[in-house]
Amino acid sequence: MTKKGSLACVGVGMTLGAHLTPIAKSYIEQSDVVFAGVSDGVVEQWLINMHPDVRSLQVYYQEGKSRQITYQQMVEAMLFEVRAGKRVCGAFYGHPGVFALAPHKAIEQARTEGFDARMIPGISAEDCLFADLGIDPGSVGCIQYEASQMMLYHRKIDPSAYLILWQVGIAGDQSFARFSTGKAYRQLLVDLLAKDYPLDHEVILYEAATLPIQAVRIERIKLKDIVSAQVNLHTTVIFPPAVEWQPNLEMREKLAELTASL
Amino acid sequence: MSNVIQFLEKIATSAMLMDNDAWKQELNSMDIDPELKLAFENKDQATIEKFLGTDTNLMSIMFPADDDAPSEDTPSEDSPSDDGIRRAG
Repeated sequence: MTKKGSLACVGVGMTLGAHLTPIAKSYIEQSDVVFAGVSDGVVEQWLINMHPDVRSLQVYYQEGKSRQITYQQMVEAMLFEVRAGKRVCGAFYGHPGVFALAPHKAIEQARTEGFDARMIPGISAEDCLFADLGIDPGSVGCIQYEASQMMLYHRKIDPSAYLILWQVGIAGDQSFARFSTGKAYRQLLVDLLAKDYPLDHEVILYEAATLPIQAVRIERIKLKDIVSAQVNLHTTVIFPPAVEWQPNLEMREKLAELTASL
Repeated sequence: MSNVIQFLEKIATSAMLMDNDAWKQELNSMDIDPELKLAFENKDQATIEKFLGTDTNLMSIMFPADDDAPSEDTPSEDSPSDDGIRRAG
């Protein structure tokens, strides 16, 4: 039997008002308390208009403070109210389960403690990116990495597929406490990527619109120019394929033999 | 200022208003501060947020590159801009 408190982490989508699903709206309106982890002050105000007790998760951020601690505090803030028997809603911009640690951790912890907890998906930056750029990830495949993660670990890049890099604005940050890194860090990122792409390969800087009056940012530059470009934390970098995919002749032959033997 | 939020919601949920900045005509019929009206026309988010009394410098990185133990470290090489600081997703 589950305990009285509950947690629902919902996505409000990327663009204020345009992407909110009926079920996410219902969780926001019917909760006892709403915690907001959103992109803009206006979006936060929009939530405040929907519910009388909206608490911003912004208070836990501080430059120089490890974001690991920030995320733990966000989880604890939500769980504190769940344990008090309240219906808690965590409203996160985009999708609450995509490039977002706290919602996953909070739901896991709530369930471990015997509370009902669920995640309601939202329209993510990735979804908007595919629509705005006209990219179908199924066409030639698509690999996605968090930029720092790709630098800190040996990860495979396939230049015949799309590559999407997230959080390039803090590329190379090992402290998890910075709000931005800088050109020297992005130069190391470019050096790493230059092993698989020519330096003049065209890449796309992308930022989804968070307000309906905003324009989407779609800026095409060369790989080498990532160093000097205006790269914000919410800037995503997309690498179109640089080489043709190669047929796997050995596997094709095996498949043909298998089919013929049936 | 709830009418400003309602206006944004109205734009966001109308295919007619979203297309070709048609919302600007709707804006002209609103009884709001001329400076705020100008901010909308210029898509000046910072000024709109100032009128709403909201924070213009939200921080919403939600994802760590590495899930290891927390650590404290030095401030950034480049100061963060006054623009909103956001995660991508």
